[in-house]
Amino acid sequence: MISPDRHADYVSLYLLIDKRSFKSNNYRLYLINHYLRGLGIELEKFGGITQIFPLTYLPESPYNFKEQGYLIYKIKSDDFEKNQFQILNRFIGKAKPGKYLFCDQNRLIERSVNIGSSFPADSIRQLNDLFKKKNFAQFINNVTLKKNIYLYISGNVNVFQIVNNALKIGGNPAVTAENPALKDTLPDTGNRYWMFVLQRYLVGQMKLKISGKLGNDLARLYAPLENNGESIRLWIQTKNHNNAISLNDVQQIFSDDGSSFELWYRKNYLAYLEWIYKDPDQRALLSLLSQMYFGRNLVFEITLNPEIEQIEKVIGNFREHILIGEPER
Amino acid sequence: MKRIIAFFLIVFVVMPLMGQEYKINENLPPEVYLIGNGDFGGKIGADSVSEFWSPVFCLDGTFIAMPSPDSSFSPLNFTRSVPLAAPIDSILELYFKSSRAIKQAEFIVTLTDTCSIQPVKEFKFITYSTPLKEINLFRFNSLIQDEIYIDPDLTKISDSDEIGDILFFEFYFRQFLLEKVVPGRIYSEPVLTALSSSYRPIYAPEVHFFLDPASAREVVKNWTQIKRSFKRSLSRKNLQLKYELFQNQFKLITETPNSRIVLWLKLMNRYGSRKPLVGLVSGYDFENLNFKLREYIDKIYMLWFRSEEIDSDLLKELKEQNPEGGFRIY
Repeated sequence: MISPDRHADYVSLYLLIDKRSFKSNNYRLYLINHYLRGLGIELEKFGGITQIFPLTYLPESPYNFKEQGYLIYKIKSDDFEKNQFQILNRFIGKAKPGKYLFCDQNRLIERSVNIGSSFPADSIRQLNDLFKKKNFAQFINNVTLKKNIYLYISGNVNVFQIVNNALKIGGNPAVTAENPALKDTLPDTGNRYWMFVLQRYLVGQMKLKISGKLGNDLARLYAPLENNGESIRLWIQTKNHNNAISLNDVQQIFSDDGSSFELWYRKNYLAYLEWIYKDPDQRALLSLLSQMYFGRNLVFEITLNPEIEQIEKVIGNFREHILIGEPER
Repeated sequence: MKRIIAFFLIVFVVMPLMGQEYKINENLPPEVYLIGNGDFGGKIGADSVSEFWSPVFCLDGTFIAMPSPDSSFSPLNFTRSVPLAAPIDSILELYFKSSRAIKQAEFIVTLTDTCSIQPVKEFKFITYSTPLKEINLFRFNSLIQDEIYIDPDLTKISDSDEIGDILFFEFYFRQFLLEKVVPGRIYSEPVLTALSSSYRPIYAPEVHFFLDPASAREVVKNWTQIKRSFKRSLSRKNLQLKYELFQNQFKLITETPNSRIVLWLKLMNRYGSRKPLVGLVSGYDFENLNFKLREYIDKIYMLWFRSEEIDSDLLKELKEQNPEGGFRIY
């Protein structure tokens, strides 16, 4: 996405790596972070400053920014103009494999046992197997595939020039310029939007439940975003399986007529959305997440004043579709 | 008559209904925040601004609140920084808490171009001396790679007015290590990024490096020489070039409201600085910077988290190479 602003004297580039296309969570955690760090160091050479939001398992905000790997790069527009091709090449071109890996692979395998000692042995074994099977260089090439990367460029930029350069580097990237006139209405977007919001609600409530139930035990909450608009997947990994959250816990969250969800939506979520809206960085990251999840920047487009009946219907539909199962390997 | 009824209908029925509809406000109000430590009170004294505040986020015991658009709104209050790797996190937190303390803090902060900082309570920042030596070595076999943290000794740099110079020193030192000492084998987040990111804990020093054990050993072993060549590198041309880069980065990072507020909040917590960000890094003065940077390089703590065994060779080398500064193994 490109959002030109001729009045700004700087350019911001926002990168999102979609982790859903990589199979293992642990693998993603280490390698996407390494990739982002390497990219950060490379970009610093052109001037400007990078901010990296590494991938973590803590779903902190309603938008779960940290569920994915993000990088923000800000640079003066003059510097961007001068080095545009090289900078874009770093983002969408092929990376040099293994150039910036600050620890070696064998060492990572050896030490990973200690790091994950507080988590089930299974996940550690799985991590080790993956490290043995694949190698870093292969991974680095994988993440630079265009389908895994979403880029948002805003500020004082020339859209034509960027598209031209991107075509030279990456073949045929899908470029969209922000234009309100182009907005169309997909029939299922409302549904997806509600699934998105409900997932945030569920994650927040589950976190409260987990912290109450487990006390000092560590737990991980997995809540991957899906773009089918029909299901929300969520599971919890704990050291002691006996403590695992039961179906009952999930049902309790939606046990009332939806009034607590509605209250949360109106009083917390929308106010948070406004807070996010005021910050261009947060807004851009959310736009990227929305682009990845809905295929378009939907979150700020949807009506923000839903009917009560509509919310009740959403909750009703949702409650019927709660399933508890084993996480996918 | 119909027109009059329609008018009344619009004024008394339709308009209040419109008011209830929640819309994102595109006309950004000036950025006013209430920032303080401890528990959030919700409303502050009538003598300052009698307004309701809603906490928008919390960062390691410091809250940030904004004036509520409507007293019934309460934004989510959930943010918490992401802890560092397991043993490092608690050690750095302990070090932070034992080296400085804020007795009380509450400010109304406006961080737009017309920046203003208005204290609500009397602010008190205290620094304590710590048992740390210049080089401090911690060994944990759970780490994947070595990590080095650098933090100024606050008891020796007590004047928070120097905050702009301290930041430049940290910026310069990081660049020096990255470009001159172990290029290509080290990763470090830019100083200003670390200071403006809400996922990084307040207690984590902003100058930090991830290295492989061999490079880390090289840095610590040659510490005295590194400091010496750092001082030698402070030429007029070099300093000016780096200062321009620093100013540029500072400007870029303070372009967005969230970064601005987190940066201010961290400087307040870490260094007791209450200065507005505007003008913090304004002027380049070679004589002053040259003097300050030479001074600061001798007033820092290095915390080295080692992922490998500490053999006797390493100990011997450390003793030989660092006769004056001193080091300690924990």
